[in-house]
Amino acid sequence: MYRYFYYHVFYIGMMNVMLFVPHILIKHRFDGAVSGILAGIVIGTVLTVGTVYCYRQFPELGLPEILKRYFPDWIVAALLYLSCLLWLAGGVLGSYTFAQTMGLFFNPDMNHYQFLLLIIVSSVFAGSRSTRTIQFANEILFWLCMPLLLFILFKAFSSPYLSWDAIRIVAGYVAGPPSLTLLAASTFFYTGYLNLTLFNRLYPAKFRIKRLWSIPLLGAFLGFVSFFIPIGLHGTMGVEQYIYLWSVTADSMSLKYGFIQRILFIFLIMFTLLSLMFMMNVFHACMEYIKASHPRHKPQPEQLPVPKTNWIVCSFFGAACFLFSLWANEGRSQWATELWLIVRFLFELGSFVLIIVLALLEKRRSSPSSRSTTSSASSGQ
Amino acid sequence: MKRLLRILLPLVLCLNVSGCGMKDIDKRFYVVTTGVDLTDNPEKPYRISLRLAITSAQVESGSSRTEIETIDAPSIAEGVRHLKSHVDKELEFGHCRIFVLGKSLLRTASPETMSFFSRRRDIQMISVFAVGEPDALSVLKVSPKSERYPGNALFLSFGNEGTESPYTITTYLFDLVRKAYERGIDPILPVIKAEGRTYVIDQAVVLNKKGTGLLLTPKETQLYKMTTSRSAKAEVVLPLDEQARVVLTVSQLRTKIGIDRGTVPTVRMKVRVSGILEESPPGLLERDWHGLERRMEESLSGQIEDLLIKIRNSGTDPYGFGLKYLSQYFGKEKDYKYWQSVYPEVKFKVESDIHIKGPGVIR
Repeated sequence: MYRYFYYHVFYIGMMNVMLFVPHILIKHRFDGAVSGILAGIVIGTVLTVGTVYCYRQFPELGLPEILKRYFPDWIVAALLYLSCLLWLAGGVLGSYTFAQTMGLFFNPDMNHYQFLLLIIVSSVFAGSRSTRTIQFANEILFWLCMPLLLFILFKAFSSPYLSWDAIRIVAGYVAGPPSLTLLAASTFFYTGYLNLTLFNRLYPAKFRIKRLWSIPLLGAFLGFVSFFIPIGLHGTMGVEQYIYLWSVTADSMSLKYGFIQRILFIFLIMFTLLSLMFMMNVFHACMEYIKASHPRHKPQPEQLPVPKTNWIVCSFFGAACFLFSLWANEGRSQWATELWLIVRFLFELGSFVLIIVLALLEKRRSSPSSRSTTSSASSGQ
Repeated sequence: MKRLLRILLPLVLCLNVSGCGMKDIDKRFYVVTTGVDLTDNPEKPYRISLRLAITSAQVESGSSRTEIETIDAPSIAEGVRHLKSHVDKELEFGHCRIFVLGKSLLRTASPETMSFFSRRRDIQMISVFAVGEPDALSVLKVSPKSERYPGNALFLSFGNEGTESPYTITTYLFDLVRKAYERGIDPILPVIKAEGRTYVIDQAVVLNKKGTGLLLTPKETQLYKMTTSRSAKAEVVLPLDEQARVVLTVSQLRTKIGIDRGTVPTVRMKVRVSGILEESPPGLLERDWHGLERRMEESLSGQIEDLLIKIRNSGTDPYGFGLKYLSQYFGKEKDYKYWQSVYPEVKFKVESDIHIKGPGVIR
């Protein structure tokens, strides 16, 4: 069952393409991007593995329930609203970039609000389901994406135009120290572990997430692929001019004997699925946070039929996506995404410290022998 | 009421999915080849020509019909926009896979003026770029008899979909753009010559960053293609004294490039070729198998070295030796400056290793 955990790690790691992460990394490819990715592997793995171990102390509890054990209601509500806001921002930015990309490559004559409407309606519907349904939907969407992803990767690595020289040159710029932005961007590949804050509700007491050693491998793979393949295909200098970097990169591979010639379209279909997956999870998580901020809320991960509140809350999120797209243009959304990545990184560090403290407290509370040592330690001060 | 809503909502959403943007294919003109030339008029320096496909249900050799529209304009984008008023259907570039640049254009055009091509979303990054001789328009005007559907003769000429000519170099848009910006490598473009009712694509032109370039002869083009791609469909020729020639058809080919550091770097190129004799005086191979191999090796190495020196002297670098140098030693800005300063004196050492598998079917 631990595979459900990895689906989240995977789709969020893949969503980096839609949130300008490769773009940010490539902008700094000569000053710190490579070391940023390497540092990201360490930081991301520590955050992930640490959080997974901490959540073992809280079987079948999500973050809202854990917070409620230790904090007064108003602090819990404030924290939940904060994390809701943070994730909603991610979803809003993702939806905007999705609509832009689709508008640009599928049909530029079409109003891009129409694309936005399509994805918002489907995400509102998908996000308002019960937690268990979301979990299963993730699995289905993952297996729909996987063959497409593997195919694109195969085409990329087998392309004779992939210049390993260019990749080596950029890899040589490993010395520069990474900036905060770069760390924020390169740790995004690992952010998927945060799904535990909600989906831990579904994991029973004896449940263990196995194969944690694959986290650094998966993250490093996603990081290196989404950073180095565009460089290999567009050169060390030419690569920085593209905004929709990965769409253009996918377009640089051709399909000689297929029904279609441009791999771009396969890529876009895959990202339609991934964006939907991302939005669905974001909407669902945000909705659950908001619902849980009520002091007497009882989590029901398998609630059926879906209550009206779900629809209403998710519709507000959808409206937020629309409002953002009224204000945004390409430059603004890039700026906002960069800011969001940094805030997200700092928030992750904060929540990591918080969950460690809470897990330690929980451990002492559950074992009476350690409780006595705590009291003696505190009396000694 | 609720059920009605549940049915209506998806139906309303379906309105968004209206296919070709409310414009069916019979209301679109498919551009199959685009040509850009330079005019003498400084106000309208670009001559844009589009070869438009006249769509028909027939698919047989010779049934392809096309129409050519030409306009002079101050920029490519303006020209294309203006051309829309010359035709009755919407122009669609999604199927335009060949772009022909006039020879005159190369002398002045910078990558920035070319940004039209990479900026437009419907132009594929995998479309082929070539140089037209004498100009792009005359290449567009050629209509080969064998063409099964509009524009298809040129599509098949490039890549290895149709003919696998050892003389035809294929440059895709993304490759051209990256080499135009990349340090230590220069773009190379095939040259399409219009000859009667057919195209001849056996030459290539190497551009430097300013646009002007070096034209390679067909023989040099073949050598270049041999040493850069793994395309096996090539030949190695050894002229003998008594008017005869030995021709080896290559079945396997591998090139390795390494660069030795020194006060003046040395480029080492190792070419390994194996193949079967296709033309030879009878019994020659049996008499002196290794001797023949060695003579062919010497001749091939000499030819390649001459080509490399010619390219070096012209100040261009289509092989990407500079890029190779930087990558081999994880070079930075400083190393590139150094490379640029020593490139005119770089030494070449070509080693070829020819392995003749047999004389073919007869002795």
